[in-house]
Amino acid sequence: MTFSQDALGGGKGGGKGGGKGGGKTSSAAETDFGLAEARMTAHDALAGYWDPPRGNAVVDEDHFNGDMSYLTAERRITILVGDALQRFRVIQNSSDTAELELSPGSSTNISICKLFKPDADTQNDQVKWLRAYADLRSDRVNEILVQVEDIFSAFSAVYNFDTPARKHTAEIVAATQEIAILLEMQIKHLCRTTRPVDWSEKVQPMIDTPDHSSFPSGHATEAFAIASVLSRLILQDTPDQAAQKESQLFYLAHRIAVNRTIAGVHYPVDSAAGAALGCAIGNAIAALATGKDALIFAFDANLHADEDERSDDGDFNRPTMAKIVSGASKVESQIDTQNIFARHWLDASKEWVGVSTQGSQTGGAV
Amino acid sequence: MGWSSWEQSNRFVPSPYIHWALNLERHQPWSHQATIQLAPPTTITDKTMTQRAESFVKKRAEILSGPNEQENKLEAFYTAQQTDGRPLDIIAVPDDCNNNGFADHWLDKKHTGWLPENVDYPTIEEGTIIAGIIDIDIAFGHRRFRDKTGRSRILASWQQGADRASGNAGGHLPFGRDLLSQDINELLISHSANGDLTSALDQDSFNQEAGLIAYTRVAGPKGILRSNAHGTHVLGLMGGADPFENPEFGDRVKLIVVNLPSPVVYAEGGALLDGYLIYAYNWLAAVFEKIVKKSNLQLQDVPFVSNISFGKQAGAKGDIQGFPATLFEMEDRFRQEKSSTFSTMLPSGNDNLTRSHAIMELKPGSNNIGEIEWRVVPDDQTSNFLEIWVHDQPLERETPPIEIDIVPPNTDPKGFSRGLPGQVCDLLSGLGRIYCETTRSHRLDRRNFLYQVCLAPDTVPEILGGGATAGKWRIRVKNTSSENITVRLMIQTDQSTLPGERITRRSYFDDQKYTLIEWSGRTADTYVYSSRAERPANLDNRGFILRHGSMNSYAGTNGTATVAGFRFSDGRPAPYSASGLGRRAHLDARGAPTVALPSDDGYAHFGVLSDGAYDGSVAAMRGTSFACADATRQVIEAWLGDILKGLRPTLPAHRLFEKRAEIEKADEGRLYYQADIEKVGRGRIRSRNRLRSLRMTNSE
Repeated sequence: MTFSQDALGGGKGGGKGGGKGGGKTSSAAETDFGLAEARMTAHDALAGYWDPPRGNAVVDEDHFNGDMSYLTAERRITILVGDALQRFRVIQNSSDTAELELSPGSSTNISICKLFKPDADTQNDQVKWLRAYADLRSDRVNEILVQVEDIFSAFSAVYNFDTPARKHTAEIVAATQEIAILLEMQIKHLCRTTRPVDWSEKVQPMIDTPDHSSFPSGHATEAFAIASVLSRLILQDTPDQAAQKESQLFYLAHRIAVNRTIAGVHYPVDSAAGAALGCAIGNAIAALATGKDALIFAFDANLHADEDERSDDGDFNRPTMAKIVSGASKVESQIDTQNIFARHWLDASKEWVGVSTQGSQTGGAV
Repeated sequence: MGWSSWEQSNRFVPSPYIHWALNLERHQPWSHQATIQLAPPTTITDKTMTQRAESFVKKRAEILSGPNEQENKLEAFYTAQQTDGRPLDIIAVPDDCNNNGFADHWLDKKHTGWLPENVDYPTIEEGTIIAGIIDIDIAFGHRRFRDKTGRSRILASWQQGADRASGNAGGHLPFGRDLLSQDINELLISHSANGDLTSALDQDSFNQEAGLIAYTRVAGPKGILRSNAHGTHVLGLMGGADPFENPEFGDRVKLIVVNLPSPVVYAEGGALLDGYLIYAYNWLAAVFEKIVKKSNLQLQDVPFVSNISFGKQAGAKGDIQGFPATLFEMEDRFRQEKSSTFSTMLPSGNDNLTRSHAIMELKPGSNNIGEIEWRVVPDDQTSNFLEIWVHDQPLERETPPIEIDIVPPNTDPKGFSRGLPGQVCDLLSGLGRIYCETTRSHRLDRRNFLYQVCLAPDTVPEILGGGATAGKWRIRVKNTSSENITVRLMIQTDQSTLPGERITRRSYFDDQKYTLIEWSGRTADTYVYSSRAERPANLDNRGFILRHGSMNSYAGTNGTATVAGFRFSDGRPAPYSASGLGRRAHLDARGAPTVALPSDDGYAHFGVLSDGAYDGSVAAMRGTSFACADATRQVIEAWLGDILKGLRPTLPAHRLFEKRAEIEKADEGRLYYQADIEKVGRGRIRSRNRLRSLRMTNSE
């Protein structure tokens, strides 16, 4: 996998990864022939007679303690992603389901999210929501265009982690997004679903329709994964706890997801599934770091569209979101932590000392 | 593209707008299914409604028992012919919000009056002021429309565009659903976190269940899903109050709300708007009376003001018909009931610069022909309407005193013709029609004549004949009488019907004599405002196109208070704020706005600030609608001041403003520009919008 030189965030996924960072890295220098020539001639002139091991310095490696501060941000993220990703597995049970498993460590894998893709009838019915939400396009155009590539900035407006003082948090968020992308792309492929644009020539999305499957929504998956991770890291809240406190993180994730329906590239069921998957991934990442509270989610797109308990009629609105993110069961098994990730998580948690852990309180006087 | 000859049109549906809308609907259906509903009389009483309902039920049965078996479908009513001289007043309503049994309910009910008796109407205390609002997209769950306990200050609300299936819809309403305060509070509780009214409200869920938004119904309301909403902004200005910072206001000022249906229902030119407004205003008054009676108070004890920030360009303009007649009759009725404070506030309108109003003063004689260009813009997906009026003709005159020649683009004039009232003349392509009508004048011994020109959208399906109506039309008028004639031409308002829609383009008059840009490079207002010392120069004195007279056709009578707009920072009248004619058409007519209030805060501060569509958000919106809402607030606060001093408010709005304008005139030295009465009425009134002082450091 490759990272953009300029981005701290992940590679190309549902959301392409955002954030800031960059400047010249050593890899740029390695390809610089002029610099190499200069160093070669300088070496010839300066090094003189050289007969190692005579004249070598004394190097003590005992102080290597697992601290990653010696690496660039991109390298750290790469390591975090690799460290966590090995504990996940995507499997396909049947032609219309995909499952995400988590390895607790010492026991057998646990299914933490099972998704059932929408059938043709459900997709056909869902197109009405594309029509309904299209009326909001002009209102949301700025947000939608920014969020095509960058959802990182939206979350850093809620909790300010895009700052040097909170670089560990920023890297965990970036790693979360990258992990989500790598997992969601497999699931998308296994649950391949037609995009709305192919159901009606009147959808006419306001942005380009991506090449990958509609279901589940990548933006929703990544947004809810990030919301889950930040909620666990800063507030120590699981999604159901956050939902009860009207968490701005989850409201933002919901808005990012809905914006994709407004844009004309996703059905509401895609976002609902993304919410379930994202929460599963985010909480699993938190569990790998802390050893506790991995959660199990499931989502059946066809049942959701048929649900008549509310008048949602297949929409993904806030009450639906609250139901989905609160509907998890806990993984009972002990989760072995991933040491590298756990250490980084601990450093990140220290960046929020002094921030209120009350959760958001809204309502009251304007 | 020529015209047919004039032919009698024995149509059941008398209103040209509705008839034309039905015609288009047959060929280019609105994306919602529409059915018919009884149109209201200007004042709803047992007598007037019962007569209408009887006629409606009978005619409906006749039409539907014929060979055409489309129950309630518009086609049947479009093609039906009147045979006994009695037309059928109808409006079209979307299927899912229509009450098909409304007329039958009216005939079956046992109680007197419109609203049912066996309902637990809310009560108020003495010293309460009631403010009514008729608008679209009013999100009344906002904290600023609730008291400090979290309960709603809304006494009753009617969502005219709500579907009837998903809530408790009473048979007494022709469409939509209503809610009383206890219903609203129950909804607030069920959509507040932990049922706690002081905690956050899940607005989307509340709004859906209250019938304020409907995602999947194309004709359903959804304006409050955007970041700003017209009605919410208006209500915030006129009646919003932080329950903790300003509890006295919230405790004393209660609200009655009507949410009009979405613009796609009442159509882009407001073809059907009058029907909805008449029902709305009558309902406001009826609910007000029920509440006052239940509270064991008298009407004169409860000050009442309603704000209707709506308008149309074309219309009888000062004549008392349609919705203006409702306003006039209602004011009169409440005066007779000794309710001296009963007031209605309307905006002067934003059409000052739209080149949609013209006046021809024609001498008699075949050489005195008035001609004006009418530019219809291409790629317009909505109809264009032009009204040509001759007012105040002798009653014995049975034909219009003018002949017209409406010349399509790129064709030569074919000659003048005259229609008789009740006749129509069609474009041979099927893309247009002229209706000839006569209407009652304010004077019993006089009548008005109207030619209404309707052009199909520029983009129409082949079934209507295809073709396009865009281009330069020529409107030619000849006075065939023996005296001077004043002909008034107006292009009807043309707004988009779906949120964010860009397919509406407005046609306009064109005349090389019209001053479009003044010497400074600005778009020319009615007057040139150059300095404090100089009297503004009138730019509106060349050619037929006039800014004078562009005022809202609903705001034409002097019983209502009409509010214009100006820029708060320096007093410059808003260029878009419509101008009065400068003279009254008759004693009850209005020749200028009542007063002006801010509709923009400053040159670099667009609009005025008030509540956005989401609770806690703020939006800037510009227009005389918001100057009007600000004025309503001033009325309420003046009455509240009296009440708190132990006095009973006695002055209606327009009288209050007469006094206030005199006071503020003394302070007009701070304003940079003189301004004439046609633009600002009696004067410019400062306002104390709570948010302005946050936005502009030099404001109060």
